[in-house]
Formats: sequence, C-alpha cells, structure tokens
Amino acid sequence: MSEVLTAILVMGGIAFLLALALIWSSRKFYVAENPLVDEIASLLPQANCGACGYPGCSGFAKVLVETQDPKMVCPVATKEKLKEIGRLAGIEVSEREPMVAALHCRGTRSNVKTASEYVGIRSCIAAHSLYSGDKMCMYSCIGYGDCMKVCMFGAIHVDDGIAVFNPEKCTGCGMCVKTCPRKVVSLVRKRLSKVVVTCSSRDPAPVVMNQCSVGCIACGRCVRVCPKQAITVEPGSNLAIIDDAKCVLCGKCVAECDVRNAIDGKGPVEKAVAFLREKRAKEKEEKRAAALAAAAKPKTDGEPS
Amino acid sequence: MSLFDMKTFSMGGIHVDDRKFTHASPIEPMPVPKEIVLPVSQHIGAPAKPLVKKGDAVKAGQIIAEKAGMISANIISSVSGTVRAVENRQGPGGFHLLSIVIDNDGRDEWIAAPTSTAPSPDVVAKTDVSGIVAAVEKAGIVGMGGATFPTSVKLSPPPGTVIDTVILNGVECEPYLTADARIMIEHADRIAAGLALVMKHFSKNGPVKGYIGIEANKPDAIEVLSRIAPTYGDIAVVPLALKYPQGGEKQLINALTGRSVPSGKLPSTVGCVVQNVATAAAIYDAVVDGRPLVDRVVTVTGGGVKNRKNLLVRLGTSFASVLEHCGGVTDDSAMLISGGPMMGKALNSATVPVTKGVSGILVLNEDEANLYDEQPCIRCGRCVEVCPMGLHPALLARNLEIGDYAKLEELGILDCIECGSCNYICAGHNHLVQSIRLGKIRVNELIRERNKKAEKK
Repeated sequence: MSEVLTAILVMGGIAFLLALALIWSSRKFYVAENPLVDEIASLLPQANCGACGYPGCSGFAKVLVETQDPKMVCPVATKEKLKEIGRLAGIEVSEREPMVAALHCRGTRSNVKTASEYVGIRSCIAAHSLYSGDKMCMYSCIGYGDCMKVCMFGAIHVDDGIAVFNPEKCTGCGMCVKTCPRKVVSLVRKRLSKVVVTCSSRDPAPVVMNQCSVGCIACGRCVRVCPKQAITVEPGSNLAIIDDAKCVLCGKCVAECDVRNAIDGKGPVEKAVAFLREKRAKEKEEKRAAALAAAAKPKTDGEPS
Repeated sequence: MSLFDMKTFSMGGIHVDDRKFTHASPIEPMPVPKEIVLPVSQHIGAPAKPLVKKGDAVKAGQIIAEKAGMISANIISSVSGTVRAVENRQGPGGFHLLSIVIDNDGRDEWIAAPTSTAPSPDVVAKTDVSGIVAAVEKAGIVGMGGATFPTSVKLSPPPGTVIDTVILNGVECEPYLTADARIMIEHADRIAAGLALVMKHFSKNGPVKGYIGIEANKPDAIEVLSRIAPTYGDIAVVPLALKYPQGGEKQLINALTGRSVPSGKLPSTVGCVVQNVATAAAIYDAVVDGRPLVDRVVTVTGGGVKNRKNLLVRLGTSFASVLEHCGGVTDDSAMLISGGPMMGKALNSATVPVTKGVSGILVLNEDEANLYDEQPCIRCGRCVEVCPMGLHPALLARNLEIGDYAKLEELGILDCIECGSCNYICAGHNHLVQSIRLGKIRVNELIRERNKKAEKK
C-alpha cells in the first residue's frame, strides 16, 4: 500500500511544482492584448481563407482594431455579422452585397474538342503556362482544379473536365477568381436567379464553332433583346459580356441564345425562359404555317404575283 | 586526343544517347509555301511593333515589324507577297501570338538584293565593323540556338566591361538535332568569318581570343573548322567530351575557359560572349552581304518522321508543310516537339510556324516518347548529382508543392537553366522541370510584389 502512496505523493508533488511554474510563467510572460480582437475574431467566419488579404481571421481582427479602417471588410461574413463587428470596433463598416462565384465556361469533355493528351503536373497554372492543357479552346476552364484547392468552403468540385460551383456553400471570398489562370471565374451578385454568359472565348466565331459546341459566337442577338442594355459585345472582343449591375434577370437573353446555349439562367428565371422559348417556338411555327399556306395557295390571274 | 583528355564542364551533367540520325544528310532548301506566318515575338524581350497592315504589299527582306524597346528584334518578311492579316496565331511556344500572315506570290522579289561574297580572311580584314551592331539589329538576328536572345544586345555589353573571349557554340548537345553540325560542315568559312567579325568588333579594348566548342561526336565538323578557322585569326577549335548540357552558355564558358559565371549575372561579367554557330553565319551574311535573317536550318527528325532531313526553311513556314515535305509522319507517331527532346516544347498542333529559334521539328514515336506515370520521389538524390547549376531539383519541387515561394527563391530557383537533366534522370519520372518553371513564375511574382511594396515606401 505504501508504494501506491509514495507514487501518488511523488507525482502529485511534481504536478504541484509544475503548476507553480506555469502560474509564475503566465504572470511573467503575460502579453496584454486588446480583448476586442478576440471578440471580433470570434464573429468572423473562422475559415482563414485569406480573401481579405490578411493572415487569417485573427490577423484581420488585429489590424481592424489597430487601424479602425472602415474600408476593411471581410468578404465572407454576413451582413448582420459585419454590422456587429462594426459596432464592436466603433466604426461604420461599409455594406457589401453578397457575391457568388460563377464560371464562364461550359467546356465539358462532350462540349469542347480535345486537342492533345496532357502529361505533366495536374495543375491549371502549370498547364496554362505551357500552352492550353488538353482542350482545344485557349480560353476554356482547364479543369485541373486549382480553384478547388484554394476554396476553403468546399464549394467547388471538378466534374467532366470543368469546375462546378455550389452556390449554397460559396461565400464569394473570391480566392478562386484570384487563382484561375484563365480568368474564367468571376463574382456576381448573389440573387435568387443567376444569369451569366458561360463562355470566355475571344476567338472569332468560325474558330469557336470548330472548337466548341456551346461557345459564344458574338452574334449579338442577346444584345438586341436586352431591355436594360446590360449586355455588350465590344468590337473585336468576340464575346458577349453581361453587366451584372444592370441585369434585371428577365431571362430574355437566355431564351434568345437557343442555338449556342452560351447564356445560362439558373433559379426562378428558368420558368420565364421556358415560357419565352415556348412563345418563340409557337411564333416560328405560326410563321412557317403562314408561309406554307401562302406557297400552297394556287396563283390566280387577277392576283399580283 | 583520347576521350578522357577532352575538356568539359565541371558540375553535374548527364550522358544521353545522341541519336543523330540526320548527321550525314546535307542541308536541302525547302520550297517556300503559299502562306507565311510571322509572329511579332520570335525573341526574348518585348514583341516587335507591326509596320504593315492587311492588304499591304511586302517584299522579301523588308522590315515588317520593328523592335520595340531595349531587348527586342526586328521581324523581316521572308517572302514577297501581300499581307493577308495581322491576327493572333499559335506560335511554336504554344501560345497565341500576334502574327503577320503573308500570301506568298512566289516571285521572291527582294527589297534590296543581298550580295554573295565568298568569305575569306581578306574580306574580314577589309570590312568595317563599326556598323556591326546596327547591321545585326537591322537584320533581325537573334540567338539561333533556341534561346533567341537579340544578338545586337549581346554585341553591346554594358560600358566598362572588357570582352576578351568570344565563344562559338557548336556543341549541339541536344539529342537528335543536327542543324548546327551540318552548318559547321557545309558553311565552315561563313562561321569562321562571322566569328572573326565579332572578335574584330570587341578588339578595341585589347586582344580577343576566339573559341569554337564542338562535341566529339562531330569529328567531321571539328576537322573542317580546325582547318579553316585558324586562318581567320586567334581562333581555337576545341573538341569537347560528350556531356549534356554542354551547350548551355554558362557550362560552355566553364568547359572552355574554366571561368564560372556568377549567379544571376551575364557572361559579359567574366569577359565572355557566346554565340551559336548559325548566328555567326547570319552575322557574316548581315554585315558583309546585307542579307537579313529570313531562313534557318531546321532538323526534321525522330522516329515518327518518314524521311528525316536537314532543311533550309524560310521563316514563317508551318510545321505541317515542313512535315509534309518530309513525307509526313508515321502511324505510330506520338508527340510533336519544337526543338530538341530535352528542352523543346511539346505542341498540340502542327499549324505553328518555324521561327528564328526553332532548331528542330521532332516527331517521336510511341517507343521514344516514353510516357511514364509519375511516382513519388524516393529522395535518391540523382537529380542533385546531375544538376549542372548545383541546385536541388527535388527540394524545389517539394517547396513548390507546399507553396513556400520565399524558400524557392532562397534555394536559387532562378538559376535553373531548364536543361531537363533532373527530369531525365529521375527514377520516379517526376515532372521536375515543369515544377521548377512554375516555381520561377511564382518567385518572379513574389519579387515583383516586393519591388512594388518597396516603391510605395
């Protein structure tokens, strides 16, 4: 029994001495820190994604407390959290509309032609700095997942040769936009629907038609139907670009782009698109029927030919 | 001289099977095709500025894009005809480059017909070399070994540097390629005269020694040049032991003179200028005959080519038409490379044009292409052993993987000459050169960012 007691006493003694040493060192080496930093950091998303440009959430909080710069905004935090942070830091944090990443490419294996076999590091930037990866289009998503690797929120995966974004998980931090060597990702406003041009090719139409079955050929039909003049095709750019700030999500351009399918409409706008497409098809059918009827009508002498 | 007495560079290097299939085939001129595509960026440095537009008539030898900036070179039309377009076309590096597309009219009219003076020591003695830099610049000459550094810049070293050694690079250590070897055998006098002109240009500040380094697998070239070159002045033709990458500028200087170029510095800091043998011949043509750089010798070789040849090709001819001229490719062809197998670039299309730096068109068949899957690094250290720059390739690749770019810079990644020795020797078939290339991009980004910050402060 005495052996057990000795062991307990010895171990307990060591523990007591070490505890004293810990107490002493915690007093001796105490670093006074603004408690506000911790408080603000706890409000931040704690993803440490680095989208703000500071080393992680605590780094951001520290600088925010020190500088009280109202321009410093966490691009990931929600509106409520931002307000709360602003209140704690005693500054007016500017409002930020929630954004979400969108891919401007639909170059899946079935849509874009394959030019060669790529042997090398499986990284978009490595393939891009060599030439074009294995796809024929020089502007397409390479699909080796550099964006997937930097996304701290698991919102991106690669499927069938292109990146697929999950808008539920995407926080709009923009790290994928910074990483993409082809610049086929951009941030758009987070709204119920999403209307984006799913092509980035600046090649002229014949080249695009040869390479890809869903590339924008800059025909300009979307520009003509847009009620808000939100779509532009810069001369020589060979690409339609939607100004996200002007777009009202009417879906007319999506319905119009029915040959190349280079404009994508997701969400409630799909219904409008389906309706518009049906209407267009019906009109076309009526026109065709009228033309057929006119052609079938036997010519009489009295009628001007 | 036995093989073991021959000079070579001191650090690293590998022994590759040289496969010089086309060594004995003489240079043949290739018929000029209907369409000529001349990218405005055929050199290291700023792209040239186009001087012509769609519909313009051009003549052979006409400057169609002029040098823009310090390090840049003129682009010369290689045929007479009409400009069809100035548009983006894929270049031999794989990227789309602004290119001038010319419809060849087949008449081959020159803007100023070049003379053809037979090279001799007398001609060199009579030629005034004060205008050599201007003549070389006007002729659009760049390093023709593949690095395409503008020659006029090399010929005007920073003030205060004394050049006492001019080296001609006839090493051609890349397997398969024989373009330089054939030029040395067939145009030895033009090469020697070109070298003599460059030596004369640098002799203002004292005597200049000329070297021509040739690897021992080209005994015929060594024989011809050691007969002709010494008649042009203080020129030594030095046979070198076979070792890759002897043709690297720094390696060649080390092999011939024993000098080592410090990290991040140019050869001129140790008093040397290195030129490719084909460049020397082009310098002679430009200075004495007023002939700009409009064509070059290209080796068309590899197991995937039906008739392997050395061709004299007008710049701007597409790879496809060159390959067609050589009877096309075999059914088992697997890989198209512009340049040699060690440092050349694999291409995904044969529509790219031959430019100033394309020394070879290589079509490898399935056996030669040797495409292995990547295996993990086993830290055997063979890449360290063979690196001619004394780097640690495996460590560089590892640090790139974990994203420690500052460490990459510290490890001297920017010294890498991308010779591919580490890749060749790697037991795990790791893509080391590609990793290092990517690392260089990252480190350069880092440096640029740092400079920007320093400027702000």
